Amino acid sequence: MGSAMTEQESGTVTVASSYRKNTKRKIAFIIFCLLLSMIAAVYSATLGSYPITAQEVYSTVWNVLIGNGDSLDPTIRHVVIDLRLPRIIAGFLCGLGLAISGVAMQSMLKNPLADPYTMGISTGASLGASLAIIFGIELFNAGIVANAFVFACVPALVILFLSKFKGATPLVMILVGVALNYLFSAIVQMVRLLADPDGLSDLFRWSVGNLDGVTYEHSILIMVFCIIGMAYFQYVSNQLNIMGLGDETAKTMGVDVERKRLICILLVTLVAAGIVSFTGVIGFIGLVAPHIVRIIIGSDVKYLVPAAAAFGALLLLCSDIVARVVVAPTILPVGVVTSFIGGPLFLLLILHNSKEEWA
Amino acid sequence: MGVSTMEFKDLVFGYDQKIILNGVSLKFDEPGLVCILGPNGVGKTTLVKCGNKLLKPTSGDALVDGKSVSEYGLHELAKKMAFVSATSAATFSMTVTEAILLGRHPHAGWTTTDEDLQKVEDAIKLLGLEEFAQRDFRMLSAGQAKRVKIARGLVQEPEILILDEPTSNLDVKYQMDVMKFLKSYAKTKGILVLMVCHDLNITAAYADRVILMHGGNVFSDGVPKDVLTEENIETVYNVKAKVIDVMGTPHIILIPEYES
Repeated sequence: MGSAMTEQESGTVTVASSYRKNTKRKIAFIIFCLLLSMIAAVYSATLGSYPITAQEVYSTVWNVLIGNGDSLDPTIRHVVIDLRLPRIIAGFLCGLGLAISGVAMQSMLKNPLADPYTMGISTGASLGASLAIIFGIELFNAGIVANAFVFACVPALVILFLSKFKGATPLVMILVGVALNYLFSAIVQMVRLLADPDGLSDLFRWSVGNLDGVTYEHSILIMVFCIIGMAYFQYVSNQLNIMGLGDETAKTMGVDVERKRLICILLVTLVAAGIVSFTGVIGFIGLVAPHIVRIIIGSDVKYLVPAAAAFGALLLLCSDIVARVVVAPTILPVGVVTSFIGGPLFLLLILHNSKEEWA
Repeated sequence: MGVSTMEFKDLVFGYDQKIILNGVSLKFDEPGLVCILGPNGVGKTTLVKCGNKLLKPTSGDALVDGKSVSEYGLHELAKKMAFVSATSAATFSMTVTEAILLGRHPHAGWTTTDEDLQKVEDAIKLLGLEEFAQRDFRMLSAGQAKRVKIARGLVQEPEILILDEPTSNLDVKYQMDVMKFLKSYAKTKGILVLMVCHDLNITAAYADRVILMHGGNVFSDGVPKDVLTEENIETVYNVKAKVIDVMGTPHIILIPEYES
């Protein structure tokens, strides 16, 4: 069997060198996305009704970081630190978190259409927020965010219950998510019918997703969720790759499939629910960022997690910039803009790569 | 790699009140290529899946090195035993190199070492996959994909290699190449290669030992010329056959029955 191929050995690159070269390409892509994110973040901080240069943004952030904040122009400091930076940090973290949630969902459920929205997390959060906004029903008296978070966790709890007692397959898990999605959506629509105009306006703002009200405190919480999620997905990246080959094959290669899947679902819920509870529903990034990155660097989850994280952050930061400038001074909901930017980009890549990626 | 032993002890498996395996007892304590034959639905794949912990027997036990497989952790068992399934496809794109590299999981840490890559390269060469190394695994033909899965099984460095119909979808040349390779691999590495197979002649030509199953149990067990007889084939498959000797190997000619 091997004799025919030994003729080709000479002149061909070795598996190791080719693999290492590809790895360097993947790392370069991650660094490139991070650098672009930094540039987008600074550019974003210069935008707005009060003109500030990139130099002033750098200088303000640096001086505040080293404890020299008092020496700064108070207006510039207020605009950069209190008004623009919280939104930028939130955009970076939310894009990152939604993208890694999408990677984990798609890999562990072996389904390209899986994302936090498919699983019902986002609509669960919508329902929780709707009940709080329209009826003032707040669990633990903790406000809209807590309500949204608790309801966002409901689909995961149902799936965990089914897995424990019925041994749910990935397909069943997705179908349960889809069913809950429809159920929650129907309830949200009913709640809307009963809402007064003010409540309806608040609900609309929440349901299209925006970064307006996210504070540093919120971002710290989101960051903690993202770090936990990203660290675990990175740690089990090889197992997630293997799970893509099918449950039986994965088990014979030493992966405790059911356990890994349940932990991943819990962490995806934590990350995605943590984000949408503060920002409202920002769709699309969780579904599409992983696919766009797959087309560029391949599907190895070890590199896909950080690359999708960096790309998701970049996508949301760019979407937020567009949301702020396109009809300024009115700010568009960022959730709408992500779909406007990501949709055509995704279609373009599908048309360009359909044979390879979606075989 | 050492010689691991495997044993099925009075193994019973069934579901929905249907018995698939009915008290199978087998022992494998020598290296070599062992083929399990039998009609569809007789329990061949079920048997090997009980052996690698994919299925839990109703009663009886499957032992590896004298220890019940139920007592092994999945990771521990994967170091001893690799399974090349009849079906398994990647959901997302991955190169052939990446697909084979996954087989290193039971032995490797989080990072990919040069040793892992060297073993992948060796397997690629052994199975003649050099020209496909950077190609998308999902774009390969069925036969090429089979070879990739076998390569993945090899880099797992198992002491027992189990394969479910590794020669299905392959043309005759590749069937012979794969069987020749597996026989030689079992001999040089001194391991047990246990495979579920359907082709009687390929089995007769290459297997060191043949297990013929019938009615959820072992009907005959031994070297090919003792197992693949005209009487056994007629009883198990319900077809008439003529067995001739070709250079010391039984060759089976199936006799078609035409309606009069």
